[in-house]
Amino acid sequence: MRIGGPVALDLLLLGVGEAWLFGLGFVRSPRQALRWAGLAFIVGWCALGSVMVYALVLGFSVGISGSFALAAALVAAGLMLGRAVPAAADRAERPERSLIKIVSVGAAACVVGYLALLGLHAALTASPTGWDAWAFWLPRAKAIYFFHGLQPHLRGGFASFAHPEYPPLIPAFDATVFNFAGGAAVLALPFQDWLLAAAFVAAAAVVLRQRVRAAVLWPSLCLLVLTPQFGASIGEGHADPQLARLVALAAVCGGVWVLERDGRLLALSGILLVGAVLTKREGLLLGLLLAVALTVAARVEGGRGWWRAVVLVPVLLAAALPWQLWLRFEHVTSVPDYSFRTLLHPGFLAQRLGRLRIALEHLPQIALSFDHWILVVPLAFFLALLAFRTRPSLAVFLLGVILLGYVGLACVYWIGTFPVTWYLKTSASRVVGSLVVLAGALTPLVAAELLRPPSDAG
Amino acid sequence: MRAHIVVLGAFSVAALATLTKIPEVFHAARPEPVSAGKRTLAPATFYRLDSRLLVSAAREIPPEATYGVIAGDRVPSRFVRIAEQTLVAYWLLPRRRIDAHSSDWIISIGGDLRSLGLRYTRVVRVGQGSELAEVRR
Repeated sequence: MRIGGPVALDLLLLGVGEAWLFGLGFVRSPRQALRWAGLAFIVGWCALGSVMVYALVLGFSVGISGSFALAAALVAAGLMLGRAVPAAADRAERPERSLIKIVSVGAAACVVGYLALLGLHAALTASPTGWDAWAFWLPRAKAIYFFHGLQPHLRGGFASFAHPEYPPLIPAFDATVFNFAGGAAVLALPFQDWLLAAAFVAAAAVVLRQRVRAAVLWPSLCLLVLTPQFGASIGEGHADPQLARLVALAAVCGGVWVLERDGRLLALSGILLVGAVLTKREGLLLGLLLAVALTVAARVEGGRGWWRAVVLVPVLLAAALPWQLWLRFEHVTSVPDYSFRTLLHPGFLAQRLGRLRIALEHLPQIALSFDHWILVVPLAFFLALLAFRTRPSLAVFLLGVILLGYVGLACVYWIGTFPVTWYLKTSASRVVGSLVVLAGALTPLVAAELLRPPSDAG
Repeated sequence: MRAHIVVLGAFSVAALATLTKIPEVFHAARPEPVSAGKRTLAPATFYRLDSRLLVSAAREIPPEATYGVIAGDRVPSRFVRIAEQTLVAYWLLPRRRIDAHSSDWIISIGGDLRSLGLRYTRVVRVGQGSELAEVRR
């Protein structure tokens, strides 16, 4: 394996993301580029990854030179956009009093130290041992790499593994890592996953820092990052943790947008949700629910442009369409876990009410599990309920998106083809992670609004 | 001021709860250098599967060849049969798994090679009821 190869790919993702953040006006100086590097990395992953997915759908195989060409085009687009879009206000640099500074620096050090430990673990110890990882995520990545593209009709190729209907962003990205590494270097993937997890924390921090004091931000992030499930999910090879991080980050951008109405934050939400849509089927469901919750929350907050979040709905549907068309045109048949069309058949649903009841009972138990997520969800709910008086829009957003997501996931288990107990045993703890990470990522924003002096509201 | 106290109290409870989990969380994240061979075979060892089948199949079957899989109750555990079939498909790429009757090789996971009615150039016994057989064409 060429170690320099994946590093070059990571720099490419960073470059694309920085160019797009320049385009949106968030990054206009080297110092800002450094501070926004986490978000830039994830935006680059979403942008380049999405373009690679569409290239694969069109029948192209994206090698190293193709990756550089696509990245160059995306960088050029970002730089051109930056000539038209003015710089965003950067309000992160607020001084703290010395005692409070000790709290924030201590919590930040704890987060950074633990992430560094997880990075070493990912590089030296971790392996993609999750069943789904080697049952279909990794084989699909290997198939793209070895057979130069999706090749849907090749026997034993991409479409031969379980769930060929799942969107291919993660396999496409892993195949690109293999291309840059010069071989199917599966052991390079846990570290790539760790990079995305660390970038998520840095990205959430830099977006939230626009409205949240460091003394609230870092302890809140500490409570999320130090949960057993956050670290355990890194490098397992499942798509769910990355889906959770993308949806949570989109919610953070959306939450700040509700309060500030800076369209650039909504654009960031859109980019991240497009990545989520192409990462896993549930990405579309969660993305659409997030768009609905954002619209309602913005309406509650009042002010101009509340309806703009509705635009996310056609954007996400359009992002999902090429993959669905590819499945249909290439006659890639599968027995999907579920089909939302069955929600239109009352008789079918009535026969399975027992499944819905079991799902509704068990999903909260997993989300509230102390051993998995400690007190992330209770803390978020408690603060959101407190915020109903001072910031109803944020309370509606946080509680709304979690309740909608909970009902949506329960509906998936309601209409699923396999026994509901099997779903609960094999996937529920991963799937629920999206809602828990979202709750944890929004906690600092809600807490900051609760602590904001009335004269400073706005 | 009351909001400050309530929020501080909620964070303090959550922080104390997190503190109780810190030893477990840091223990799980401790980095231990593991050899690349062990790490690549971890999906098999994690599920207590016999990794000799994977290693032998990758050694014997050429990368451009195709293979089919048959399974039978000489490997008594249904879970092991399903897991090994699934894991083999991942492990052996770029070797492609196709229909057993038109493949270059057969991987038997507790199955009966004779049941296919094929003739074999050679058969490699891997242990625990598993065999690899090169089909004579």
